[in-house]
Amino acid sequence: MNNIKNTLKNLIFAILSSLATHYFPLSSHLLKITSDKLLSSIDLAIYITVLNILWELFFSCIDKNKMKVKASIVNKRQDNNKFILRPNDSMENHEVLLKLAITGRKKKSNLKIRVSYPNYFTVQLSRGMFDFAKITENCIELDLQTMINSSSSEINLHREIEFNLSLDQHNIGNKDTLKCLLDKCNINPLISFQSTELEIRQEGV
Amino acid sequence: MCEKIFLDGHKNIVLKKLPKGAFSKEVASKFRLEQKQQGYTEFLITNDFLTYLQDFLHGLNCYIFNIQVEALDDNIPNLIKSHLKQNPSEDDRYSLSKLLQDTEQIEKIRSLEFYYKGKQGEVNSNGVIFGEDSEVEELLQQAIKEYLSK
Repeated sequence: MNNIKNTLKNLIFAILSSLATHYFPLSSHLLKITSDKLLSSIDLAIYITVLNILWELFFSCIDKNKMKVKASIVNKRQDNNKFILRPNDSMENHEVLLKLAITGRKKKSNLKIRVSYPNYFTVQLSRGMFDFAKITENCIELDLQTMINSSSSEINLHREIEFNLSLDQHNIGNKDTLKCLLDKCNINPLISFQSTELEIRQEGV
Repeated sequence: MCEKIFLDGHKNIVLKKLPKGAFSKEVASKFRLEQKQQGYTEFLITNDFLTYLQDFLHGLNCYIFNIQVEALDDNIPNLIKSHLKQNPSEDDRYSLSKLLQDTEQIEKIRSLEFYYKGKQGEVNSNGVIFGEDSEVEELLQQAIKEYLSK
């Protein structure tokens, strides 16, 4: 998708630069070159470069004002994004960490992150999380606003939210993913969100 | 008393008597699912809860006489035993808490056995609680209530 966007951006820049070259030729005033083709090529190169620089400046300016939220769910014991559960592991408690990093410029919003899980999991939060996290029906809900309330305007907040997960029933072949999702009702263009999911696979002995 | 702990939709603690054979994973799984259908979620006896319970019980001067763990080092159970005394010092309590939270050393806390007012109680990581008296039951309910508000 990003490649397509980039290609389209390049096409638009090429068209705009061609028009600018035609209507506002620069190099003919600056250089003593008689070849029109060469002058046009130099103009085209200049305009494309200027547009690219403006584009980068614009986005770096937006980026500086953004609040960046990164979330990943990991298997606490192995610190990776995979859980393989064997029949003997059902009814056992497995420690899972939701790692959250919030950086950048603080934004006011009623942002919530949700992690939904299948009905045959029992999930329980560990201590110290109840102020900003709660479990509703098959879903862990994190209130980001509560988490960042006391932070200054520049945030650099890293939290590990621990919860335990227990499989009620083991079914070989089942594969689930736990993924953090941002509440879509409150999406602010100045908040970027990235998440890494945890894969849970139920396998045989 | 030999029960499992469940929470209703309002986070109230409900103790449920175990069905026959509830120590097998199949029966335990069936029992949990039945309770879920009735709106009760099992309270998981996690490492975090057992670590908290150890602190809670020591705070009430209960005698914790056994903590079973799955450790990566064979010496850990003996080290735990060395801190379990009828009147543990502040140092013992601190070292024990630290050790139980050390995920590099301890894989799982399996069970915790204690005496409260002369009566025996036990909490297992499989979710089962044993107690000789209703006071032990009330004590555990109090511990869970406080844990859920932390």
